[in-house]
Amino acid sequence: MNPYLPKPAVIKEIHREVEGERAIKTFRIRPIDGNFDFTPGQTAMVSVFGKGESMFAISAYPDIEFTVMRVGRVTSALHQMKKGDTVGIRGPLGNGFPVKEWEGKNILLIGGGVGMAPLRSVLHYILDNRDKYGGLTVMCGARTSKDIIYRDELEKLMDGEDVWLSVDNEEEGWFKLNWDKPEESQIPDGTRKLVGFVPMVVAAVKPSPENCIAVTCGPPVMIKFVVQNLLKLGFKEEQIYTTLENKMKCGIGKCGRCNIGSVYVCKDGPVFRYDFIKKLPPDF
Amino acid sequence: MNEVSLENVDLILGWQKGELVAKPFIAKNEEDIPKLIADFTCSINLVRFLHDLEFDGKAGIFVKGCDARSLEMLIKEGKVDRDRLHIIGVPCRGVVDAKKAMRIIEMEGLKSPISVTDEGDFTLTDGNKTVRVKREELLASCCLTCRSPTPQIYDTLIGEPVEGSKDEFKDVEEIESLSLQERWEFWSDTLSRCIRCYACREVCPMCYCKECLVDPTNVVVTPKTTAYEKANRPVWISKASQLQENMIYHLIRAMHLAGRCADCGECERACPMEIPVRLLMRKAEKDLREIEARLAAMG
Amino acid sequence: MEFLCSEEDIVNWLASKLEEYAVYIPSEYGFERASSSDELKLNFPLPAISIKSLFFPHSDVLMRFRGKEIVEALPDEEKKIVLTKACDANSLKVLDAVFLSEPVDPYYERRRKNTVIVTVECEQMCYGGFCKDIGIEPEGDVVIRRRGKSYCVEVRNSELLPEFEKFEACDEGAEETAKGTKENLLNIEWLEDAFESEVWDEVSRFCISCGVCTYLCPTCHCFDITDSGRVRIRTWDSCQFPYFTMHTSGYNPRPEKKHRLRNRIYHKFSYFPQRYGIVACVGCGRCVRMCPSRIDIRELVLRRD
Repeated sequence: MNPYLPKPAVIKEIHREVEGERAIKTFRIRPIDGNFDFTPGQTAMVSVFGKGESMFAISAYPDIEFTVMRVGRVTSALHQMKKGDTVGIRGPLGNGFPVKEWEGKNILLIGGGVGMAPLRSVLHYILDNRDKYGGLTVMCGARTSKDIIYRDELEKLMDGEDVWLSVDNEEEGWFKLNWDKPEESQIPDGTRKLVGFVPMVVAAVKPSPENCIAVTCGPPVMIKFVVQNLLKLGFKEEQIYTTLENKMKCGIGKCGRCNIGSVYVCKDGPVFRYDFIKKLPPDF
Repeated sequence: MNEVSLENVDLILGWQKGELVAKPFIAKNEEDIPKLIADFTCSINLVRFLHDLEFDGKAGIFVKGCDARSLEMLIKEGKVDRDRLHIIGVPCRGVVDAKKAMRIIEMEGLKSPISVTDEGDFTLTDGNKTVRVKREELLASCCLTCRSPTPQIYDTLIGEPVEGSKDEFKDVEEIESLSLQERWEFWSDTLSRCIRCYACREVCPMCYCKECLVDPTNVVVTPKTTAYEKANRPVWISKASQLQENMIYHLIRAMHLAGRCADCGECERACPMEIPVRLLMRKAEKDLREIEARLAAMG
Repeated sequence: MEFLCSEEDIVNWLASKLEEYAVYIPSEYGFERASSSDELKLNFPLPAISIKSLFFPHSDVLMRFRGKEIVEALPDEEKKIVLTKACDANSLKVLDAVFLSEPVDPYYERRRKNTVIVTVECEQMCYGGFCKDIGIEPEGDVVIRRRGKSYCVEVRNSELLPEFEKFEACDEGAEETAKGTKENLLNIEWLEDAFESEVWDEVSRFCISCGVCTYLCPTCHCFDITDSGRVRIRTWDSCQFPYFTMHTSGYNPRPEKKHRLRNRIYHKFSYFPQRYGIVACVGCGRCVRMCPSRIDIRELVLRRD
């Protein structure tokens, strides 16, 4: 087995998540040979032949989807592709979330921007295995309501699960959190759409650490303050998981660019428990 | 170093003693001053370091004749502020090429540490064995044809001016005299060795572009850089070290340096594969001089 | 088993292999395939480019794209004999650890698997080298040591033993006396709490972020994968280049040369030992000799009085 060799896969569906300069699209693809078993949180290299390869979190389960923001050469090429086009897929890569270990626990998913992508694979997995898990809370934030990815899906989910959406700037119909003391915000009953940065939402909603696993993913600053607020709420470091991101090329721990200390994010990650991350050298 | 002081400058960019050849050094305090040296081991052109040197007010910098030529060019191109420099000129009788010295050391089986002394010819000794080497065998190649070993631009000159030699571009003529086929073979052979470490570019004081067209990706990226710009950045040459790609790199570089190259020889000394990088630059210089002479004759 | 041979005996043995094997011998710039017995000798230089280029070349085609088809481009298998020195022979332990650990790199593995390493011991360290200072001993299928005018040939690969049995055995114990007991000068414990040290500002002050140290290093193995037309290639890359770790967004976890130089040192002397149990430096001294800014790794990792 040549670990560098992608297999051809066909784009089955494209969903436009966000428009504009930093447009985001979700691609559902299927390898031509059909085989691709993965764990939520794992990643894969997606090839546009002649343009290159990029690493993406798999953003669904058990379907293979990638949620891709247009930022560079490969992502721009992907954004120009149509249903039925062929790409390459190499993986699954990385460790994934220990979803089996989490059985019986309450799950809290906190995502910001396109960082919601890897969390959606966990979300799908839990919904598929709903009886094996306790409470489920989802917090998803973005700059504006137009930037919230999977918005339709999350809004539908509000009926049965504890789902919170948030935006950074004030918008009509969205409840503004107490900016100085978010923990003192009086959120009206039934309100699920908030104005405030994601860490503020955590402080305001006050999820209980009791038998809970918190998983957060998003921009590094967001993660930093989300973790701070979770710790304040009594979460232990061992209860918090996040994913890290670095420039990657090989995806199998050989090419040497995604290391943080002796850890290769591509192979040993991208999922790490917070107490482990704390021991890494400050090189990311 | 009696001639230099930190009185009017924040720091002095100079040389300190190193093995075989001097190392770059920044003197910030009075006790650093005695560590400064200026001799035949100071091959490194310090001007390159001005591009990212941080200092208040003024900085002192040591330059040999060739270094001064590169500094002058940078001042002309507006990359260095003359008023913020105190230039310490060092008339130069030629500097040692570390690679040439190492070849002799290996051949003669000398053991570290080795000291080199300039007695007209050079003497290399490890204490047990002493080897005398002809001056031209140890000097950097650019020193053998240096027209202006005394800096033409300086605030302080250390030592007596040195007379330049006449440069007749013999090395270039030698290549020019080859047949087309022989020339192709010569350059194919040498340039196929290139490993694209870009040491020649990185040591060059004139190669100051923040992003070079041979870089495989955008190097300067701001939050304003659009996906479109990144996606459509032309890839002029592949990362592969193939003869054609290597040739394009070296030819592009030679073209960009034509008329600007000070012939300090750093590119050639830095090249771990001993590619005669200078020859390309010198060919351009020779051609330019001939064109200039022709134009002058036309009146 | 050790055998006493003349240089001629050894050259004859190598010459007898020329048909079955590609025999590589170091020249000034790299390893070259010997085409006749005239080119075989035991006195060869340490080439500028290390042994890694034989197994992990600077540029390598990984695959080709033909329409929707992806065509694997594995190198041909080749039976090799490689003459080398102790430093380069040892560097293969480092490269093997990376490329032969799971998932196995098939490009490296193909080139590496039918290789016989013949190591000729150096009588003295080369200028800038520090192999013996960090305990590097000759490694290989065959290790050749000088004994006066002859050579003691230690055959470690038992498959090769029959080919040497016609020679007289080398004296027992001769090897031990030759080795001596040199103190290991490796001094890297200080790295444990030096991540934020000012040392990195100082050492990297004149670093020009070129690729000399890493490209010449026999253990450095970082690479890039890029598409060049319809071909996907792998090329050497360097952790010293600013864009090596830069995200597409422009964010760079190692934006300054001090971060990059620190990573190089830590990778060799801390991260690699943590991951694979060995130091990723063989003391060949190429980086010491060739650094355009005269940055000397020995000042960071050797105990010096």
